[in-house]
Amino acid sequence: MFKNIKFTLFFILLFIIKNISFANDSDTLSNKELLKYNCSSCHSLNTIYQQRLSKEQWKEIILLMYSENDMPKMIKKKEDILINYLASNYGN
Amino acid sequence: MKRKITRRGFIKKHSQIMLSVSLASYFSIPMNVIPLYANDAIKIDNIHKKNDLTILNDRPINAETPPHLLNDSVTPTNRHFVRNNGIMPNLTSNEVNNWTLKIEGNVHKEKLYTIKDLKENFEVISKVLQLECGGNGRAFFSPPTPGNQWTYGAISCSEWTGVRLLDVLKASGIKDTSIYTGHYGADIHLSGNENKDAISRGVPIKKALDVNNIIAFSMNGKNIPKIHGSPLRLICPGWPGSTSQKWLTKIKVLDHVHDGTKMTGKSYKIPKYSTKPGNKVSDSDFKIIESMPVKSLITFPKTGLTHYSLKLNVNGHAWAGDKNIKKLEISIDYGVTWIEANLFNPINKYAWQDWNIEIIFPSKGYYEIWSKATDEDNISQPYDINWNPKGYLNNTIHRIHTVINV
Ligand code: HEC
Repeated sequence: MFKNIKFTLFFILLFIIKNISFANDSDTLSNKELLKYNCSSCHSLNTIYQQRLSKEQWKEIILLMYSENDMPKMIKKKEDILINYLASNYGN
Repeated sequence: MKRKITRRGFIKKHSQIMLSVSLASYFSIPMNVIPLYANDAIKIDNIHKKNDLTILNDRPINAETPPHLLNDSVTPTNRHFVRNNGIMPNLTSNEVNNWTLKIEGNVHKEKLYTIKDLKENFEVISKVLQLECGGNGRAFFSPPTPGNQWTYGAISCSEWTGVRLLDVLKASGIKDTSIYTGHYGADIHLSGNENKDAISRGVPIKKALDVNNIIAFSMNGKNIPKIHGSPLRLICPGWPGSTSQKWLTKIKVLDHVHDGTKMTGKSYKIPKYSTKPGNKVSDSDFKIIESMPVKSLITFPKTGLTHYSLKLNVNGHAWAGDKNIKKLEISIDYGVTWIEANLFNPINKYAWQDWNIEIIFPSKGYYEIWSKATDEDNISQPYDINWNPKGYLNNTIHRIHTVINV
């Protein structure tokens, strides 16, 4: 019973998030948040933390997420920031 | 105790996340807003009883078994590695009880079987079968390659009970023009897109018609646990584990090479030509991996221990995909000299082969123990990795270390 209430609250919360989402301007996001928001909806960030990849390989990974895995396209600026962040923190 | 309950709630949580993902698309939430629920640290359940495994990823769950826990000839269920590509289906007992398998495509008679039908129409057999992830050993690639960073333990050899894939395919009458199969399961693509398969791979008809493939409904004498593909999974032993579809719902016979998820691009493929480590290879220069290569593991003793005798019993397993092992050798001097171990026949075709040896060390000191298997075609394990861009097929000799203190 308690679970159901929690679940309903979650729906409401989701609705609220939907309506305030545009206040969440991308420019104010830290690189870490950028990674979290873009890369942890489908799989956990452990998918990323496991890797030690070059910038070239990270670029390829993101292209793969678009082409094969239905990841929504990021704007170019954010994509570049993210690739640099990944290559410098999870590089080889 | 409370924590345990949360862990068991994992699947439930997962289904809620799924719902939130579909809800998210309904409300068309911009990409930089993630449903809060999905951010919670997800506790791993279903992996209870798998406490000894090394968890590589929690969502999707991927876990491997340290070599010293693979010492049994038949891998116990709680020590079987876990490879998931998508979200495990959240099945009701009703769905499990009314499970069906469809055989369709390039056949004369399409069929739909319940598990009961399978048991009644075909001979039920049990076999001990080796199953290895194509990416086992990826963690040692230099330069590194993307994917789950498996070390040694994405290999198993459990007992599977079910009916022969061969018998089931024959009953549908395969057309002469058939060249490949496509396997489908009930797991859900990580994006939540229901029109996408999490994974759907297949094998050439020749492999599909081998008598050793099993459409299995039990594992080690019990119903297959959910995490391993209950209630029905395919086992195509000796080939990348991804061909052994979990939560199996459909097998399609094809007159072309299957083009399902993870059959295309670079997935489960290696370059047609050997490649300089780190080089880029274009998609057209890749070929699909078939049989897994010759390999061995030292499963006793555990690496890194000190032993207080010059005598040490060492044992393990060796396997070679479609082939048998002919010889197993051990070196305690970095490959300068090799000693042949006792090698046993497999329990049945496609089971791994046990081996053992009593090593007598010349003196106290630090030693590495290396194991090297040779298959029936005289092909042995390499010392170093034949690098490929996706990190598959690392079958280098296994090395452990020990201190002998006498
Ligand atoms: C829309 C869903 C989705 C999003 C968003 C997403 N991924 Fe993935 N990702 C997947 C799927 C599906 C796989 C394949 C999982 C498997 O088969 O184990 C995957 C696998 C990966 C892998 C392993 C690659 C391999 O070769 O096995 C990496 C690394 C990765 N993702 C990184 C990222 C990064 C970085 C981001 C953010 C820029 C991201 N993903 C966002 C769906 C997604």
